[in-house]
Amino acid sequence: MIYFDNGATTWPKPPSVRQSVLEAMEHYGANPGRAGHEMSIATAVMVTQTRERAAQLFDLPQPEQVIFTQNCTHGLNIAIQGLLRPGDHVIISDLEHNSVLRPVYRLAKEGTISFDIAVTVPGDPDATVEAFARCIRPCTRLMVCTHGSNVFGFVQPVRQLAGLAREKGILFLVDAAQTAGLLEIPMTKWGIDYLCTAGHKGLYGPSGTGLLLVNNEQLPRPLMVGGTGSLSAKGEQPDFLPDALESGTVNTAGIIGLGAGLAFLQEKGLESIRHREMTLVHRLWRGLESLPGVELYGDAPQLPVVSFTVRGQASEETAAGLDQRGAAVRAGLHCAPLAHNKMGTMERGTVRASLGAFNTADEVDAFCRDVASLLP
Amino acid sequence: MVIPMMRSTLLVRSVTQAVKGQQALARCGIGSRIVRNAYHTSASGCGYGLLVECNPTVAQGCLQRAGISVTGIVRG
Repeated sequence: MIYFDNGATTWPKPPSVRQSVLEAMEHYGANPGRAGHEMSIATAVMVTQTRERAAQLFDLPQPEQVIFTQNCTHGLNIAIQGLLRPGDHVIISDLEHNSVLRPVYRLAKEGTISFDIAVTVPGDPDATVEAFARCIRPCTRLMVCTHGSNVFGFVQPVRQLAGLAREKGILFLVDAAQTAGLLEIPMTKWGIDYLCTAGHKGLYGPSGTGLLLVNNEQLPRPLMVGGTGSLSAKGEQPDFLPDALESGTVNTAGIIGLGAGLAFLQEKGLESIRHREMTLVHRLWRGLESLPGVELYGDAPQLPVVSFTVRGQASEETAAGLDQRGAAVRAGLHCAPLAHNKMGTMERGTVRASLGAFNTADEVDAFCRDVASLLP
Repeated sequence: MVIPMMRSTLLVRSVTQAVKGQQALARCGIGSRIVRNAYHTSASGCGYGLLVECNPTVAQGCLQRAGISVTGIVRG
């Protein structure tokens, strides 16, 4: 199988990640932060180690600023629903995934908040920042921007947007689902207040893991309150991190696996991983571009993500044909209708090929041959 | 003459702070063991502490320099 669906979740995981999950099931199977026996403490140490690795990767001073979530959507909902108050205004980009759009949309439909969609300009960071600036109102509390489009791979100028937000006293949340583990995102250096990402994509952790990174003293109101193993005599949820935003038993084996994924990234280096994947995606782009009847979107890949359509075919039809030939891709709207509205692909959707650390040039060439075989 | 070692438990807010605290103490050359807070009160409930066999004031200073709040010290 040629697996070009890494934008959904990366596969395969590094052997070290698989091994660490097995080890976790065997040796770190206790509940961290609940008991005092040896295995519980040892498990807590492993979980803290993952926090430390994540804090280091994202330039956070303290591991407590790393909150474990089920996935990126979970973290985004905590942040968006937890930060916004009645009467607030929020700005999102026109490339946002439904994990941003839907919580914002629901709050707006309930009449709690209002929102505007900034019209980004791919390839023109200044124009994108200006688009956000034009949407700012006196009651704007939060700006949310995806760092990289999960459909078209456009990279947004989150560093500059963080500067704009800081200048205007607005909180800034980044969705880094497609860029974490690929692009450096130093939150403290860039002034990013909150960042959410999946643990199971570019960070090479198992499914069921995600990160919410908090770099502002304003903590979101938690979506879920309950047992934290701390201040347990009190009815109030603890107000310190990570306990304030982590109730209940965490996905221990997943988090330990995520720790191994982070170690993998540290060992390989983000630049090395990025160079390899971008080399491959440019090869893929050139290969698809040469095929008559294949339409590509954007000028050139900015991330290892390529969306394309075949003339006369619905995207799902193309994907099914590729599946029959042993190539795994995703088709349709990719849970990002805003992006498709922007690029005019709502009707048919697109086929998305998203590469990962373990794809090869041979796979790219074979994939292009597979696409060619589907052409009318 | 045997001088008994001072043994104290420095209470912290959470297990995450306990793990961080153990690392901080190690950097200060102080060995410690993460333990449950056996002396929790009805005001605070369950929690964790760092059991040390040294002057607790020294250990507390080390933790505070590392940004770790000590919520109480239990001697013995």
